[in-house]
Amino acid sequence: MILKIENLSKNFGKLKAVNQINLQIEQGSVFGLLGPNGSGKTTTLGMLLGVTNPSSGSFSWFGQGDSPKVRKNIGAILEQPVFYPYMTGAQNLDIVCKIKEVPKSRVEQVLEQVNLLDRKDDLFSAYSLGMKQRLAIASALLCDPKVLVLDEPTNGLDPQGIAEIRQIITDIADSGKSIILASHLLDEVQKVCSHFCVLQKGNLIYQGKVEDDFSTSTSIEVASDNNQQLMSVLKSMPHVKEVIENEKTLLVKGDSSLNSLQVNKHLTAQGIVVSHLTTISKSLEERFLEILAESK
Amino acid sequence: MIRLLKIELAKLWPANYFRILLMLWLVAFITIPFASNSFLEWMASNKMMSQNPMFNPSQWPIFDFADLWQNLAYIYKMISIFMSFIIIISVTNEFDYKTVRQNVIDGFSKKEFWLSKISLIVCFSLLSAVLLFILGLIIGYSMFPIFKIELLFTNIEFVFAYFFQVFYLLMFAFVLSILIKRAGIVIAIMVFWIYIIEPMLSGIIASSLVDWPLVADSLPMEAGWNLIHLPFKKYIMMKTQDFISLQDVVTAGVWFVFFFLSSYLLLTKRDL
Repeated sequence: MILKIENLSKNFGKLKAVNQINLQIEQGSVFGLLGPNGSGKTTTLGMLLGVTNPSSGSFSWFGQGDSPKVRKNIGAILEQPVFYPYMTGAQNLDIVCKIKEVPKSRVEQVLEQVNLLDRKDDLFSAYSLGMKQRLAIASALLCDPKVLVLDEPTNGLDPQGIAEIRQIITDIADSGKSIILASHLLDEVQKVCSHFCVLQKGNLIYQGKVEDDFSTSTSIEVASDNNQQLMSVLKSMPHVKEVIENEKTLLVKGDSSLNSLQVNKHLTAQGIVVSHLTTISKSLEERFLEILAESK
Repeated sequence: MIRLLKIELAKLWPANYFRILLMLWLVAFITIPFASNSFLEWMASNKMMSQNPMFNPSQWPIFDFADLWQNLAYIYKMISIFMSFIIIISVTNEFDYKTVRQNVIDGFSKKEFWLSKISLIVCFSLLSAVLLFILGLIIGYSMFPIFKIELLFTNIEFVFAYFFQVFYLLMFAFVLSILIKRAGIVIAIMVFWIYIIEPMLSGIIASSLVDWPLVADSLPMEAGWNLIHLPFKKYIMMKTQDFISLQDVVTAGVWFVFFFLSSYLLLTKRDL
């Protein structure tokens, strides 16, 4: 286990920014921390990283509690990339090496990893946002961390920058490192994460595996030249929960054992030929909105 | 502590403001004694002044041993404010860039961050005192080449008083910087406090509480300033405190402990 959180809370005056959170994150998982803006994601990470003092509760990294020494084995960025603007990228990483007590030779290696080696002697203030974000990831990788904490790493980037950062994150995840990724971009979490949880107004309202959440139900889109007949046949089919009529197609919702092959067989047996048949994979966005709606 | 100081110096060295302020300070440090010497000669050559036999500045033994340490320390304490600007900018920058937060995320404890700034303050205070000592030896020897070794170390306590005075001023700047976090405002408040607020307060207190002259001397900047009293009055036959009084050290010491503790508590107890 890399992280265990018990009853962690943070109050700012009357506002409960984070309220009694319990969470466990396993080794090797890519964990998504989801929530709308202002839901307490950054406050939670701030407490886990020693910059915000918790009001109550506790947490433990790698089963060793919380100390600066433990933090030296974590690579983390909170919100935007933070560096000394009057120094070059390499000078900035040297400072981080000194703080983390890591050999200086790592600097070139991590710069290579994020493809910034040729710009290492340029001032940080002259970097583009994408380069700053990559430098931040390089800095997080300096100590060869067991876990990487990233807070909105693609915020404000152009599509190419987003693709670059995602590729770097996926490569890091493939190398077996654990990642905690805070984001309000659902599609991002769906693409890279294995587990996720949802925060809303400081409360942990959901946690689970990404794949589970997409296998509990199935949606299939069908159409034929006679949608009325199709509708009545589908409604009588086993495992089907609901049939919704759209403009030209019907949306069939069923449990996880339903698949397009069964639907096709069933309809052929009834003498219906379909003109369109697609399995719709449910997006995390839908699920997320459901979770938020359920919690209200 | 040495590790923390190395990190601080690595942060400072590439910064332009640091190199410029340090250079200005060094130039001022080296040239001021020579400039004040020429100034005294100029005053002596001025006809009107030299008509008064009581007043012959060129005869004042300002840079002769024994007197020299207090005189130089007094002159130099006026430029230590340059040094405090370096501390103010270095500390407020960390808040401005949010690097204090990133330093902690990277593995500093808040206490280590505080210690790293303290190590820088100690380093600057030591540098000031060592430079005072070296320049004192050079100037004293060039003005008065035949000296006795025991004369050389008479009044040497003013070098230590100067160390404490710089340390004290830098700690004051440090606390203000943590509290206010904006370089411009800190510098403005500090200058305003030193040159306007405190003299006014001390004037009001001195005139209304005649029985309590100690209160005026106990204001934070006055307490630090009073470690080294103005020595030159003795050359025109006025009463001068030419020693470091225990009372002054204790008053300054109380404030110093307050700066020390409050900077620590402000940094470690607040959210970054």
